[in-house]
Amino acid sequence: MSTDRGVDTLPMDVDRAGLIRRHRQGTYQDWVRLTVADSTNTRADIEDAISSGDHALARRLVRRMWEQDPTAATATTVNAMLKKLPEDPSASSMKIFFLRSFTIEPALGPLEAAAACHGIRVESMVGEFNAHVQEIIDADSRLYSSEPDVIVLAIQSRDLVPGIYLDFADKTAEQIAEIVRDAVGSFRQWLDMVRTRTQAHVIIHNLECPEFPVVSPMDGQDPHGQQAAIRDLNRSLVEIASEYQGVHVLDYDSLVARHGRSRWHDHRKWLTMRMPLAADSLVPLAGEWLRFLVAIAGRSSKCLVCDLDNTMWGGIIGEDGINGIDLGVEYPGAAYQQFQRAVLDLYQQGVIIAICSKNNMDDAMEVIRDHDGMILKEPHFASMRINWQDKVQNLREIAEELNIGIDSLAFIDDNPVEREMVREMLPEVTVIDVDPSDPIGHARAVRENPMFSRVSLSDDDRRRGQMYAEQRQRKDLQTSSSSMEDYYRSLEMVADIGLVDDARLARVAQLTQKTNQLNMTTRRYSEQQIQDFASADDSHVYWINVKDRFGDNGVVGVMILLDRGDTWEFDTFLMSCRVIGRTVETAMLATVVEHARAAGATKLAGSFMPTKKNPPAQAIYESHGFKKISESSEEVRWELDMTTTSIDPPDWITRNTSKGEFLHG
Amino acid sequence: MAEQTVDTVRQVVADTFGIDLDDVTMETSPETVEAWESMSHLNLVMSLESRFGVSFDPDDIPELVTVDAIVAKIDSLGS
Repeated sequence: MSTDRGVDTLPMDVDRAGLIRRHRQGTYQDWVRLTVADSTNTRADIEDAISSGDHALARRLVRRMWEQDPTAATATTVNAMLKKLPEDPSASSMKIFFLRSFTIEPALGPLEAAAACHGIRVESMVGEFNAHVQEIIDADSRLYSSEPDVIVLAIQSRDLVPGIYLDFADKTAEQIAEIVRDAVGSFRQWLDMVRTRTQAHVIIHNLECPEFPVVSPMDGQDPHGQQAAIRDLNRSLVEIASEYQGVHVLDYDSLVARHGRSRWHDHRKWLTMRMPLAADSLVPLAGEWLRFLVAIAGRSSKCLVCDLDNTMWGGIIGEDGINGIDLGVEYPGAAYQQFQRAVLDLYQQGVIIAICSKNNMDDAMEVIRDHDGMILKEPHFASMRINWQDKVQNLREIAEELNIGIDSLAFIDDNPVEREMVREMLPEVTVIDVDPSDPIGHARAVRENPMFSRVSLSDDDRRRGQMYAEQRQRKDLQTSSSSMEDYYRSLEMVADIGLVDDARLARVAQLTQKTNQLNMTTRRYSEQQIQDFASADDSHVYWINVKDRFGDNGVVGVMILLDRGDTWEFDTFLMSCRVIGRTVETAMLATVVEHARAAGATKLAGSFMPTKKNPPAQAIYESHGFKKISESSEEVRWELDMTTTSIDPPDWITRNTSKGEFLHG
Repeated sequence: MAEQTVDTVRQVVADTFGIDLDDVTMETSPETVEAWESMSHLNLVMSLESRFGVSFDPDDIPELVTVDAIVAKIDSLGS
C-alpha cells in the first residue's frame, strides 16, 4: 500500500460528495487516513479506539495492522492489543493441541494473531518435547483431558526417521525400506489410538526433505535415494490419512520448499535451543495451519465478489473504452489474465463468483462478452451488480440474491476507499486488498488468501460455482416468461428418482445435515445411518436429481419412507433451496404415491416439525391434499388417503424412475 | 544509540510480556518482569529478529536480558 496516497489522488470513480452525505461527518476522512496510515499511527489509532470503547473499529484496525505487515513482531503487538479488547462475539473458538518434537512456541503468537484476524479465536496447548508417543498412548494424558478441537502432529524428519534424514549414507536399500515401513506403521498406530479416544480433527505435518541430500546431485535420480525414501513415506501418509474421518496432511515439505529451504531453518537456534525455524518462517507456518483451521471451522468464503476496473482489467472502461483497457497476453494485460485465472481456479473448486462494479452496465458487458482477453466469461458469474449504487448495498443484495450469509462473501477491489467502506459497514465480509499500481500482485492476493481453503472437495463442491451461475440464467428466463407454467415448460426439467446407492450415500447424508429450509423434520443423519435405513426391509431412502436446459442441479432431494404395510410414513422429506419454486416436490410426492400404492399401501403420512428456518416447507403437505390429523407446537401430523386422493405429477417434468429397481429395493 | 531503536525495543518488550510501555526502562530485565522467562525470552528474541531484520548469535542470546543490552546489540549489528 502506498503511503502517499492522499485525498487528491484518490481514484476518480469515488463519489466523494455522496460518501460524505451518506456517512457521519469525518468518517470519510477517517477512511482516507486509515488507508494511508503506517503501523505506528495504526497503533495509536487502535489505542484511541480501545480507550473510547469503539471495539469494532479497534478490531478493524488490528486486522489492518496485521495485513500490512504480517511478521512475528507484529503478531506480538496484535496479540497485546487483542488482550485489551473483549472477546469478539462473532469469532469461532478452537482449542488446538500441538504434539511436537521441537520448540514450536514462537509460531503460536503468529497463529493466534493471524487466526484472530480471520475470525477464529485460537487457544493453543503444547505437549512435551518428543513425548507425542506417550501422550497419544496414555488415555489420561493432557492431550485428551484438554478436549482439543484440533490436534497438530508436528514431528520433524530428523526426529521421526533419523536413519533416513541424518544417517542415510551407511544404509542399504532394504534397511531404508524397513525404516519407511516402521514409520508408516507408527502413524497408523497413532491414528488408531487417537481415534478411539477423540473425534478431534488431526493435522499431520508430512516429512521434509533435507536441504542437502547426502549424494548430491545424484539423489534426485535415484529411486532408492534419500528424497525418494521421504517421498515414499509421505505418499503412504496420505493413503493412511484418507482412511480416517477428519485426518488431514499438511504438506510441510512443500511449505518449506515454497518459502525456500535454505531460508526456512535457523541452524544456530536449532543447535542451541531446539528451535529449528528462522523468525521469518513463523508466519508462513502459522498461515498454513490457519488454512486448515478456516476450513475446519467452516468459515471459508463461499463467494468472491470482484470489482472490474483496475481489478479484473487495467484501466477504466468508461474512459478508456474496450480497445483501451489492459487485458491480454502482453504485460500489463497479462497480469490481469493471471488474476482471472486465479479466480477461475476458485470457481472450479466451488467458489461462487460475482461482480460488483461502478460502471455503465453496457460498457462492462461489452468487455465481458466480447473482449478476447477475458479468461472469465459471462456464464461464470452468479450475480452481476454493475451500477452506480454504493457497494455496501450491492454486496447486501448479492448475498440476498444468492441466499448466502453476508459473512460468506469475500470482496476484492483496487479502491482503498471502497474497501474501507465495506470494512466499516460490513465487518463480516472478507476484504482483499489489491494495489492498482502493481497488478502482478492481484493473482497472489487471491491465491494466498486462507479464506478460500478447503480440506475436502466433493463433486458437488466442484460444480457449485457453475450451479449458481446457471441459477442466474434461470432467473433471467423466469423474468422473461409470460406465466409460471410457461417458465416451467421452458426449463425442460428432467428428474431422475432412485433408491440410495453407494455413489449417492455421501450426498444424501450431507443433504440431511445441511438442509434447513425445505425440510419437514430436520433430522440429521450420518452416512452410516442412511445406510442402515437403506438396508432395512421396512424403510426406503429415495433421492432425486434434477437437470434442466441450463445444467445439472445434482441430487437435490431426499425422502426416507418407513413402510408400515397399510401406511407409508415420511421419516424425512427435504429438498435443497436450489430447486425451490419449480414443482419438484410435487414430482417427488407423486412418485412416492405410485410406489406406495404398488406396494399395497392406502395411506401416506408425514409430520411437519417447525424450526426457525423451515417455514418455507410448512404448506407443502396441505397443498398436495394431505389432511391434518393432529397439531402441537412441536409437530403437525398430516395424512393422505391414497384411495380417494391422487397427486398428479407435473407434466413439465420428465421423470425417470425404474419400477423394477424399487420393487426389490 | 538511536532513539528510534530504543523506542521500538521498548515497544516489543512491552508487547511480548504484556506490560505497559511506560513501565519499560533501559534497566527492565527478568528481575523486574515476572513474565520474562526462558520461553518468552525466545519469543522476544524472535520478535526482535523479525522487527529489525537481524539474526542474533546464539552465544549472545542469553545476554540480551536488559533493554540496554538489546539496544546495544542491535546497534552493533548495524540495524
